[in-house]
Amino acid sequence: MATITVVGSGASGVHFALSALQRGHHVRMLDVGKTGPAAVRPEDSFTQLKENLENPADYLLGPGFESVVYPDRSAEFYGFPPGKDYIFEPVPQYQIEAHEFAPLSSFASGGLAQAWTGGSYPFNDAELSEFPFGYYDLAPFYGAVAGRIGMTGAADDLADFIPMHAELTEPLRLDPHSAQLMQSYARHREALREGQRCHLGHARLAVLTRDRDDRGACEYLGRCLWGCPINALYTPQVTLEECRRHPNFEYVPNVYVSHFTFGEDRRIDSVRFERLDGGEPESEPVETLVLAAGALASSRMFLESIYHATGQVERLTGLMDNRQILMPFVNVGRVGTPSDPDVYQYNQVALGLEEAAPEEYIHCLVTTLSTALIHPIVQGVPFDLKTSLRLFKNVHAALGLVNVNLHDRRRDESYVTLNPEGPGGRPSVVVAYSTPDGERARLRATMKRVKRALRTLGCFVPPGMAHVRPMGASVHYAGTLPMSERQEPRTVAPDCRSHDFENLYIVDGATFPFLPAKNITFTLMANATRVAETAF
Amino acid sequence: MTLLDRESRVFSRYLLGSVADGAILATYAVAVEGGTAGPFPESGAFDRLLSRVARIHPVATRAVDVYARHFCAAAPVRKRLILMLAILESHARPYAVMDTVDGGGRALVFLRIGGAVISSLFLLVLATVFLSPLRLVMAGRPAAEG
Repeated sequence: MATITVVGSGASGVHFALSALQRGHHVRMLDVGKTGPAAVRPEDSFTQLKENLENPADYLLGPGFESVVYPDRSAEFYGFPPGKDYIFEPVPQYQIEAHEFAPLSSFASGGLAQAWTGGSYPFNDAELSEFPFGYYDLAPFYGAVAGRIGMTGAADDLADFIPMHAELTEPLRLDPHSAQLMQSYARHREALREGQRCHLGHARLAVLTRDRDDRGACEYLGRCLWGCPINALYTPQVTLEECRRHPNFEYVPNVYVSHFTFGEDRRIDSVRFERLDGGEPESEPVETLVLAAGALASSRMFLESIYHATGQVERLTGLMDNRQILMPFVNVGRVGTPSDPDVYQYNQVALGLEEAAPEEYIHCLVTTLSTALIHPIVQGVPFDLKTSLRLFKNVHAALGLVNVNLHDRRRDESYVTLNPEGPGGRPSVVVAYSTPDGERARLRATMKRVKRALRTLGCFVPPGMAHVRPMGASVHYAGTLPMSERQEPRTVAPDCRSHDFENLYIVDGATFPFLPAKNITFTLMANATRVAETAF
Repeated sequence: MTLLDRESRVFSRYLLGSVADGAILATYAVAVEGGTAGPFPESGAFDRLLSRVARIHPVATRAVDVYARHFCAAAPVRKRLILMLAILESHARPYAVMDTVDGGGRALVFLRIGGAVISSLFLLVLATVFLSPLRLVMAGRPAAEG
């Protein structure tokens, strides 16, 4: 069996690798592979952690208090906790210049999905209409991934838009606020469905509700935001560990792959990389190369390889990302009730808004914020902190946040290219995003619909609190080397084999020809599994 | 008692209603002196005045806080208040105080919130009347002269 060289250990890379291993291939994975701290007191709940740690501020705010959110920092409602800093730790070799885009990159073992909130929403036929396959072609792989990682789901009203696939387990126990929203939806179901084309249901989550292998079911510790200490909430590191137990798998961390080299026959013969601890650049031969480093990093490698071979600076057009709007809300019926920290922290409820074109469906994640840090929230309230705290403690159980996701399409004006003379004399990646015409109207109309739906559910959005996130913030990057049935340069075939290089496969978001409003991580994993099982 | 000791005691009384325990005050001192956002340089005389006033008494802290929230949100004194709040919420007992709903039913809750908002607005007016002219007078003066 062939040896396959995989670059990157994120959601796509590890699921491709595991499937290839299961089919008898040898896999060598090259990765920067930064790792985070071990889980602290995994048996403690969020509240117990504050009681039992000698210095809880160290854990929650960081040893240098770097996770304290001050007024002059970005206007997000919560930041990343110090325990997840390693996910976004840069490497000096990777330089990025961005225009109208705020890119996030990860060199962590497990990739960006180490910070994944577990939302697992399969694309339906309408959303796959620009892909060279439909839902029923991808459904077995959605099921296979769900079986591997553990996934909750329920056949409720959202199933009309989010197909039911195999291997779903029962949903988590709803937190009291989410349960109340579901009850309110049941009372107003007709008005919301028929009048507003709005549908509410259980979130689909990559979380265990039953023990399996060496992972336990969710214990409702309330620590999700800080990283699940018992791995009930899935991260790609779980699958990477499974790969590492396989005799045909070789994991090579601490290397930064700069580019690949190829001959006249457009066949890749080697990859070039640097070790992070220093030394001269090295190269090693490859039989088959699989890029799974994420849309931006894989595009960068592709561009840099062409640049080193030909001196040409190319442009990969069609970069996509989901525009997101954060809309905090207050559920009037819950004002004055106590909040419960011992619950699952990310969204347990999702809200879908139908659009005239079915692929433009708007997907909203409803999070109820019970253990989010207080200080980033209260500092935005237009009173002194003491008054804001009084307000907060009485409305805490009534607070929620809707994260609205909007679809994106490939456009020539949004692209990735290289600056050959980047900092330090090495090429840097240039990311440019152009906001489509009519974006302002689309955002206004969407916010209006979400506010109306929330009002029907008994909630309101405080004036001035909705926040349109910059492009790049969703980290759902896609579209730069899309799947195409036509053999065109800078595209890949339906099995994700490059149309430019015969022994190159690209299995991350770069290959998506359309970006629905749903989180893409689950589809990345299913597609990578499909490629491994159909092309190898 | 150093200025920083005094500040941490007044700030914790302001945010919590009582002085936080010694370990929390010590954590605050470490954060102000050595944290990534510290040492919160006061770039002008007015910043220094705000800090001085805020250390006098929790009521003065509140007046400075509400003024800063509206007119100079990134003032060092407000950053230090937010830092104290972040440290307090990291500890179980202060967090319990900050996250326990007021008793007495929803009507009373709304009444208390209304009262807090009215007194905050009153302090904002008062602070604006006193501090805005001083801000104009002190504009451009370095902190050392304050």
